[in-house]
Amino acid sequence: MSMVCRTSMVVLKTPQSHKLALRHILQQCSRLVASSAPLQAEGTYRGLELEIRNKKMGRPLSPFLSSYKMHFPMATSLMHRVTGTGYSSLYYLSVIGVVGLAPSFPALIESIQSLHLDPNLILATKFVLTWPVMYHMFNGLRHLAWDAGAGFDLPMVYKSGFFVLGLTTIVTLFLLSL
Amino acid sequence: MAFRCGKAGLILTQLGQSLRCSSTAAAAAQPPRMKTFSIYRWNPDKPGDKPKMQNYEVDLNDCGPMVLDALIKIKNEMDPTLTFRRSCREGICGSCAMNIAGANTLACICEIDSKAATKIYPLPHMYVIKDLVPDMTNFYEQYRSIQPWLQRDDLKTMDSTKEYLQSEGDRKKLDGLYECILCACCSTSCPAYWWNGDRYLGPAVLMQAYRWMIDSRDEAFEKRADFLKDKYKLYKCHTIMNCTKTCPKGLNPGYAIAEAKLLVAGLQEKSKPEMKATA
Repeated sequence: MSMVCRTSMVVLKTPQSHKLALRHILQQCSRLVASSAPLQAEGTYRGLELEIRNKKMGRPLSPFLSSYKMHFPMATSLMHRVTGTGYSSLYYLSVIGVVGLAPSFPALIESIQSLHLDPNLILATKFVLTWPVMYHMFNGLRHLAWDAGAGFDLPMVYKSGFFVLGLTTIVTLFLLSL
Repeated sequence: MAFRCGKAGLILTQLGQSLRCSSTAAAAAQPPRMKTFSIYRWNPDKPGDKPKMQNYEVDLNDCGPMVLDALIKIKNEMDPTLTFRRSCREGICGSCAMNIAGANTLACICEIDSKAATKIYPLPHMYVIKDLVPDMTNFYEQYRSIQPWLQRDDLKTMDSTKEYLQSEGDRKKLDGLYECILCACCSTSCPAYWWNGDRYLGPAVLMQAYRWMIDSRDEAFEKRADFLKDKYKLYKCHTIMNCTKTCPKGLNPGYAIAEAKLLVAGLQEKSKPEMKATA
């Protein structure tokens, strides 16, 4: 408990860092609850305390996103995140949209059909909607392989990434041809 | 002039010139090969100073082949206020880790490329003490938190003239792990470490945590695994693979973390020592 008081005192001296302070206190509390692990008690590090000390000293944070050059494995990871979050939000939004706005699903389909859109435009839309799902699925399998400890050599990381991109495109085209 | 293709180009060019005039005169009369180093600067002693990029023009004909050579040349001849860490100049101390041309590496073993300009920043998402010198305290504290030393019940009773034994096979398991020089290139390249550096241990420290978990002589496996059992310390790794891509020593922290995840989750067990540590 003394640990909590001491660190939160340090933290509360800076008014800007209330959020950090709260996070730190919660962190310390969860540590107290799970204090059965002896190594944790002996070897606790003070990540947030150090962060606050650095901020107080007015040290700037070195550039990270702006200075780090994107490379292929990083891009596949970023795309996995974007397709995952993007598609799940699109999913919920479309459900809300369909349930809330259209009288019924068939009616919605009919209203789209009545617009007589260019079939190429429909095909392109289908591709844009399908590709991210397929990518997320196949790259998810790549991540499962990694989680099993396989495919970590750097050349293999590249190969599996290109394989996923190729497979995603082929399967998407196949699905559109149905 | 075909100066850009490294040694072969240089030799060819010099050969061509030596045909035209005497070789010594040619070396002296070589047109300067100017390159711009754009370097991150921040001075803590100037109140209200904002970080900025400062350009230095270096003639590569009169400079060693590595980025550290250029930095030392700039400090010696142009601007003694430029501040950076360096020591061994041969890739074994890890002092000169920095972000060069968009990737983390050691300045001493990073060859100066043929591009007209190169940007040099401190290690990413670190608090800057001055110029290219980041505050490594958090990184070292995290390393300390995993207790990177041999732990056994018989440490105090062991005859100090004897060594603990390990089979060749068990020793081999530490290859690719023990070579880490803790330069922090990998940890500071990791987006998960950028966002959660106060709670996620980062690739370099996790690779050493794994190294001590699988050591056949170590008896603290359960304790070590328990320490890593939370949402952040180990499992905040999302296999982005920046660590393995950037490691200047060619190690694979991504793989070590994946193996550590399996061990800590109990999906794999630590293999039994092939040999008793005490004879």
